[in-house]
Amino acid sequence: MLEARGLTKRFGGALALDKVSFRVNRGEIVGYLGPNGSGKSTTVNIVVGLLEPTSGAVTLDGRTLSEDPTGYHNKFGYVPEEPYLYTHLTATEYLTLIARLRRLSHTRLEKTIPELLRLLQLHDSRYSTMAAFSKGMRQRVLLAAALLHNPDLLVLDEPFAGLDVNAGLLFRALLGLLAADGRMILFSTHRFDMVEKLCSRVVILSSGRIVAEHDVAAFGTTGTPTLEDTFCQVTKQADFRPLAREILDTIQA
Amino acid sequence: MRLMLDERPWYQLTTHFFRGLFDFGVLSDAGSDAFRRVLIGIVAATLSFGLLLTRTYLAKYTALSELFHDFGTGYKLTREPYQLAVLGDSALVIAFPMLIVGFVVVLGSNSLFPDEIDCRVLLPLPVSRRVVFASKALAVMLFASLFAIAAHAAMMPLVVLMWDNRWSEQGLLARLVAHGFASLGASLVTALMIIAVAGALLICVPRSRLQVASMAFRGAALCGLVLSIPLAFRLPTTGALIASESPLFYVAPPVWFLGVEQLLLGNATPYFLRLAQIAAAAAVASFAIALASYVFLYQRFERVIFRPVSGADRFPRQRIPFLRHLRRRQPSTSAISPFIRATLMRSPLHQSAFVAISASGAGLVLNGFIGHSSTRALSNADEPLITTVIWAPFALVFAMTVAVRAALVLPIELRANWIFRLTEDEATRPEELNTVVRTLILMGVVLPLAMLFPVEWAILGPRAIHCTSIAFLCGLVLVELQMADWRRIPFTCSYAPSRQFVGLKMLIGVTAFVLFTMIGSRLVWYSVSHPAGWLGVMTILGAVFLYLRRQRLWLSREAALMFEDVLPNEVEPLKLSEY
Repeated sequence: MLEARGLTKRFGGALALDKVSFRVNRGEIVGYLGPNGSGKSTTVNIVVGLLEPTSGAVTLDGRTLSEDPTGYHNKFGYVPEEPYLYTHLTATEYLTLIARLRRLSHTRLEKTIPELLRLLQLHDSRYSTMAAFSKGMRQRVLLAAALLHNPDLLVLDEPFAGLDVNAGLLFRALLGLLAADGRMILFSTHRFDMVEKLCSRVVILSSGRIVAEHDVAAFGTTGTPTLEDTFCQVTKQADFRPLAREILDTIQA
Repeated sequence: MRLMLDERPWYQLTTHFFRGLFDFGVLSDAGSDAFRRVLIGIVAATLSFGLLLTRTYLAKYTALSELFHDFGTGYKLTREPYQLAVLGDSALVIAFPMLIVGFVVVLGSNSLFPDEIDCRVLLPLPVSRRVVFASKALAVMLFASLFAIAAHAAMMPLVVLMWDNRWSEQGLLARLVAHGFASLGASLVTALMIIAVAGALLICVPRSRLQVASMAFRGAALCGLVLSIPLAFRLPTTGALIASESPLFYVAPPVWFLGVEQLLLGNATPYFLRLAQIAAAAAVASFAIALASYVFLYQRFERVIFRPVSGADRFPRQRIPFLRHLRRRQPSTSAISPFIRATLMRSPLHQSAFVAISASGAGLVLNGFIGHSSTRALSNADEPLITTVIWAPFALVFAMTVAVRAALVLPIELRANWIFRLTEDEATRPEELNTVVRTLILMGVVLPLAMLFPVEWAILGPRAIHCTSIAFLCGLVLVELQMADWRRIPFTCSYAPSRQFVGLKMLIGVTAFVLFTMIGSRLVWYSVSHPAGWLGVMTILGAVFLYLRRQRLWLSREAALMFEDVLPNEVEPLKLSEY
């Protein structure tokens, strides 16, 4: 189980996260939803160990990152929001680099990498450097890299950005299977439709605080508000129709 | 006027492309500021160099202008020594801006033509392709001209000193005009030659091989330019050779343009006429090829720039299974070596840093050998040659270790370093850092020593073993000193250049070079003349190496990896108490 307890993060004087706590159980996909600047990426960066919290802690199966850094890192796979890759490497070289950094055996990486590239439709481009890859292709490389070591926890930060329809459908099906297999998935996104279709639970964040936590199944049933309505209500989103009208008026002028 | 220009797309695009030529795309904001300081330092150093050269030549030209000043030798000065000196010095004054322009255009050679990104971003906008291409060409020429003018400004005091002399046959203004035309033409042709080669590569080489071909060209061009520095600085001594119409200079581009200058000054001898003809032919050919490349790309843009990369022709090299088995190491260790190799082979910036610095070392060594040849011609003694042969491995090892380290320090795709941050492991960290040290030893110590060993053997015989073994251990000690506080996976840490004042850094570098080569050479001389001494020297060097290595390994076990470079005024706690 992944558990965040009272995560607080300050950047100088600015409070980015304020006592954020949540859990991701085995077999669960938790949607982490929030407007821009609400602290989603900061939380994700703390969970994967790229940032240190000012206070609070994250535990994975009861152990914190500082107690067992290697064990902690080997338990999760991470897909960042932007496909930051070493684009001068080929997909095969990049995956091999990651497999070796994760100390996978030579036999395993020789077998797994070509197979993953084939399944993610990157096999034909395996000898081209990733500089020539589209955003969707780079996103698929990142997913392959996150899955390479068969992690218990997947931390996904907007993983569907840039993916075409087919790849998006494949990802959705794959995430469903991974959850059914008992993995934990923390899914940070802006997209309500993805949360509704994929997640079992949603945590809504606004201005660095958790403002709501619900089972996704509860939304949209007769007499209950939709996820979008709930999101707008709890994050105090303004009605954007007047703003849209103003934009239209501006361009028409 | 400015407002009017701002509304013109060509002006906006030219400004954008011009700025882009200064952007290496690897530096953080702090790094970019520091890089600007480095550029200002380089410009200041160039101008100072021009003034220093003028100061050095002041005495020479004052002496040359004296008609009967014989310094007690009874020798009367005439016009001839002045004319010979001016011939050689004019060639240098033409060569210096050529070198500067050559360097900057080669460094920016991956941005000389509109590329795929330019076109994908700009062509959907209401900007014609003609404007995009013309703006790029204009930006490149402005970029080259900026450095050409700066280099000419640095040389101007020397030019005035040379020609404001009683022996000068033409007026100063006439000479300045002739020199300006010839020298600016020479710099322009240098830029055009590089653009022509880059354009020819872009058009002729399949896209899948283009990167490798461009790297090879850039590496070779940088190497050639650096190696030509010592040759350029020997030009002042070649006045008599030029006056004797040596055909050797038919392959020396600065002297071609000296021919143009002489022709413009009315000195139309058949020799200068031929040199000027060669210069004109080179100018026309390079201009034609550069222009043709632009026109060809402009017309067949989709086919050349958007052509797909063919995957079928890029199969990786397959290692023989037997060797693969032998080379199998710890997974984390074998992750770093291929990463370093791939980056050094594919990144223009890293390759440029490596080639430029190591070629400087090679240039110094070459200069040493050329210097010896002239000495030997006069004295017929072997001692200077032996001295040079003993000194050369130390000079080359120093330059190449600095070159490799400089290349490893520069980051690539900085935001992609998260993968190394996520997989940092105390257990494998020392071995990973050791891999970096091994790379430095291989490329900075073993490679130069292997290159020089045949020359040493030919000249020193079996004593070459003494020399190489001591140079090897000195190289190891140097590597350990350079890597004593190294805590980064290559290319993954931000880089803040100009951590020290440029002048101070250069002073430290030169002092270290002199000390290293001097001490190394002395140790070799000592061990050659005292047979038992070799063993003693090797033992002491080995002990120093082992001590430094132990210290470095301790630090790599205890301290975490660095992903952010820190300036000396920032305090960076090592957090050793946490371990």
